[in-house]
Amino acid sequence: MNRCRRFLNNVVAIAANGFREGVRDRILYVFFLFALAVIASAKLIGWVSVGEDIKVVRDIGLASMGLFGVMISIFVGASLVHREIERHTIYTVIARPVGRGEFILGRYLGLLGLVCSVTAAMGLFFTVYQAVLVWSGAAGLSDVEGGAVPFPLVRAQILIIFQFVVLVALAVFFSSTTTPVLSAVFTFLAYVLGHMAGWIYRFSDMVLDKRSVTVFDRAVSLFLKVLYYLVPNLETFDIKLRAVHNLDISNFEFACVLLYGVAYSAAVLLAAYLVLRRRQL
Amino acid sequence: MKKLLLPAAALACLAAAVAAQVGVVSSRGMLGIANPIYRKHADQVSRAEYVTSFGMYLPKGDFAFAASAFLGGLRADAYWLKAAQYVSKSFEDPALKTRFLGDLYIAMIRIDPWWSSAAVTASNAVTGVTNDNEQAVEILDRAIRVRPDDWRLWYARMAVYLFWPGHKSDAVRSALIGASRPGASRALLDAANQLALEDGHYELAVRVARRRIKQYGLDSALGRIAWRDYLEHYSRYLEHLLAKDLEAYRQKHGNFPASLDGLVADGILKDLPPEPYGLGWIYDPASGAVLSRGLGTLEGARMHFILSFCVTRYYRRHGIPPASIQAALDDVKFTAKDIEPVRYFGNPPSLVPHPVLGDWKYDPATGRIELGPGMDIPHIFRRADELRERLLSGGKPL
Amino acid sequence: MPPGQAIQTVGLRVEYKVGLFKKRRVGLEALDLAVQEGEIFGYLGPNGAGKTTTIKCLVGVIEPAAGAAMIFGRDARTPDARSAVGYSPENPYFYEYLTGTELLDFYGRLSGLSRAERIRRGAEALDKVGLSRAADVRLGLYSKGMRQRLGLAQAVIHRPRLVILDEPMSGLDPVGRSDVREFIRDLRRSGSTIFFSTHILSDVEAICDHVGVLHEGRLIARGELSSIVSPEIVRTTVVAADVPDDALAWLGGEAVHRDGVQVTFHIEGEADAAQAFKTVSDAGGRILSFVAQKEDLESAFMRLTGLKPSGASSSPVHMAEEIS
Repeated sequence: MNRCRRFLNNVVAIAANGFREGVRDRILYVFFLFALAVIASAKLIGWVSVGEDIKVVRDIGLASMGLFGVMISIFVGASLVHREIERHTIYTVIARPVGRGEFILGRYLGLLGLVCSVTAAMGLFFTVYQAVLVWSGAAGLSDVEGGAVPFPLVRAQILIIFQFVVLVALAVFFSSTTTPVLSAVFTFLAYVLGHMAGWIYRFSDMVLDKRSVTVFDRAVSLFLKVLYYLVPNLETFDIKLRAVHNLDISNFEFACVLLYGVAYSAAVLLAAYLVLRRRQL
Repeated sequence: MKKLLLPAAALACLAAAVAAQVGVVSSRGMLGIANPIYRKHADQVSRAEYVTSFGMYLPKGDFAFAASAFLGGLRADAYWLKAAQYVSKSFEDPALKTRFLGDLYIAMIRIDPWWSSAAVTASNAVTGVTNDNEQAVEILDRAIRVRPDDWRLWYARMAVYLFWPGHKSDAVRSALIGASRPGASRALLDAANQLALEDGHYELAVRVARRRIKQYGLDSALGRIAWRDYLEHYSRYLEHLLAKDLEAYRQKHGNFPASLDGLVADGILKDLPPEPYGLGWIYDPASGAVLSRGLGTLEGARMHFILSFCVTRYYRRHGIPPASIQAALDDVKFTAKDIEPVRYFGNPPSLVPHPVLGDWKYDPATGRIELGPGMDIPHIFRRADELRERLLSGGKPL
Repeated sequence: MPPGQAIQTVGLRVEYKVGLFKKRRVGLEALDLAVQEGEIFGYLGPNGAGKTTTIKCLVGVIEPAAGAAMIFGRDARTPDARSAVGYSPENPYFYEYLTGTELLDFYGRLSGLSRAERIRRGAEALDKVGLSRAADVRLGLYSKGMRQRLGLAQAVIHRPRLVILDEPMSGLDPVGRSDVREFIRDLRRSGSTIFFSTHILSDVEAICDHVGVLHEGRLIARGELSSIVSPEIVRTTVVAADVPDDALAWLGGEAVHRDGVQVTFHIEGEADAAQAFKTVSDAGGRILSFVAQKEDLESAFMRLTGLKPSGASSSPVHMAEEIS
């Protein structure tokens, strides 16, 4: 019980500290304000997009939530653990009665909290902005699918925010294994490739899409299928395309996606812990 | 043992993640995961000739599509903007209307299969540019597979079939399914009605007309038009039924009955249905032809309108009225602008006698075609309105 | 393990894997170390000897390849053992975005202090190291010396029984250095054990009870200061004025430093020193200063490690500066 309380206390302390670190970082505000500017200027492109104004506004809004979220994860998160090791700040933390698992979890939750609250703020701004466009009738001539605030749009934003559960876990993992620059590159690649995951599935079918299929082709196809289930699949969280058309997903699917995020990031964090536990700092 | 605990826990988490992913795959289906659409056409997009003067270059090919997956619909939006530029440019320079335009729209729905507007425009572009109706329907069907409830897709599908000779029943079907979708345009039923009639589905036309009346409400302006159509279609339907019954009678007895009551006497019909306009049936025992007086009047009035139109046209060209109606018709050559007359008469229009009055009474001196009292369109419509008011005030129309 | 032992290491061995091919390099070899409770223990060694590596083992930052490090009888790798330890790293570099107060609050929280305790002791600790005025300044603006002081403050905020300081005096001016010495003495007075590493011998001489000397990963001497440093007078430094040249010639002119009429010379051995005093005064010279030196730690260190004195760090002038 006592150990449990200490665990929680340490994790919360480190997370709060990490959150404060991010909040006091000027780059955060640069990204945040830039994101708001992009979302607000979406209407300009909406004007020239014959009859699809609100779709363009929603596309830009959702895409910038994800993109700026990942930027913040990278610029704040890439050097997360590495900088602590490099500047020896981790020593004074580890020298306290703090386990390395608590350290990793705390750093993870701190950054996650930061990224989530910033993207949530962007999402709130975006939702209100597009709702105002719809209400005021500035959204164009086409009848707006789903009204001012369609539920799927909210759900899509929840999942965009939730994808950072996985992405930040990956950032922490990379940060505790490589240098900040490599870690930033890896994190961004994970974001891009994670969204390509569906195409891995597609390519696995395309391999078999020919006249004579050899054993080798089958093996490649199987390998790609297995790969599809193992790579960090951020496309799972991406229901943007459907949400802008007011198409909802089932609650079961939603629950599966949430479960996936939690389980996958737990696996990644455990891996990060395994790496850092044995690491000579 | 304890050493293995953590890796085991990590693997267990991974297993749970895979299980969750399987759940997502099963509920999302192939489309949500990968978008295998338009593999057939994918290469066309990359092969398409890009006109760089528009200044919007998008990397092409499968990998570019995959790598930009995280940008969601933005890429599709870019294609949309580009296509819009193309369309506006193509008014000035029709040469731009290449296959490329269709490919642009296909690229859009390849990225975003849920984008109905893109699918609709894609089908329009494909039919308009290349006349490839099959591909247009394929595009729409794929979109319908992911968004079966979107009436716009059905509307577009109907439109494709509409201008595709020999596919009128498909058009009717699309229009009817579309009309049953939430939020559907009410014009879908109107179209379905007209199409069903043209396709010879009289019973269906009557049913659709009833639905239209219900949809608009009998007391509304549009309901009034629907009611007129209903009467017309119902008359035609009954004519059609009676002709069949008469044919059955002839098969049995070798000749047509002396009057329509003969059908009832013979037991083929229980009752003789009243003529919908309440104007009675016109029956010719010799030929077995049966005709609703109301409908005949209406059609005759319409023919009269066309024939008068032809005569007037002759007069304008030659300065004198034609010697006969036929002369006027021979002189006339309908163009694409005159779609409506062609529908009734063909091109050149053929001279058909008035259904009720028989041969046309034409005066070559004045150039007037005599119709007689009570035989014009306003009159028959007034009759329809009378019946409607009777129905609205709680009575029976007949 | 006998009671009252704050630190004990048994056969501690640390290896580093360096480079692409993970070549092994030994950082520490079979280290046996014991520090009694209540001591001030000076951990000596040249740069790269493995002092910091030992300390990292003690605070659980790295894991030994063999052997064990114990703190108050508990394995140093367990977080529990570390709850009794306060640690300040060499050249401490803290979270720049925090203020001094916030940093102490953060560390206090990690050590399990309640909010009220954190506020009280944080202010106390800052006051103790003389940083009260900079309490609400972001650490990014702190000077090196301020960071060093803050390092001390965070190490003692939870009143640990054992304080481990890695080079606490490096880079400090003389005033700061004496402040730190006073700080360490204070700590001992309040009952803590202090283990600190340094490569500056005078610090050790000034405050330590026990020392350990580390060289190339091995402990080459340990024990009380007196047991390491020989009690004999090894050299006498005489400063005299108006010494006639013949007397100077007798003295041999060894290591002579002339400054006008003032002459400085060194004499080896006790007997010779007495003779020299006599010679100078007999010749009519004035003795300005006569300082007998026992073997200092430096010499002992050189003797033990077999290193030859070289460079500025072993010149008498430099030594004199450091002693002052």
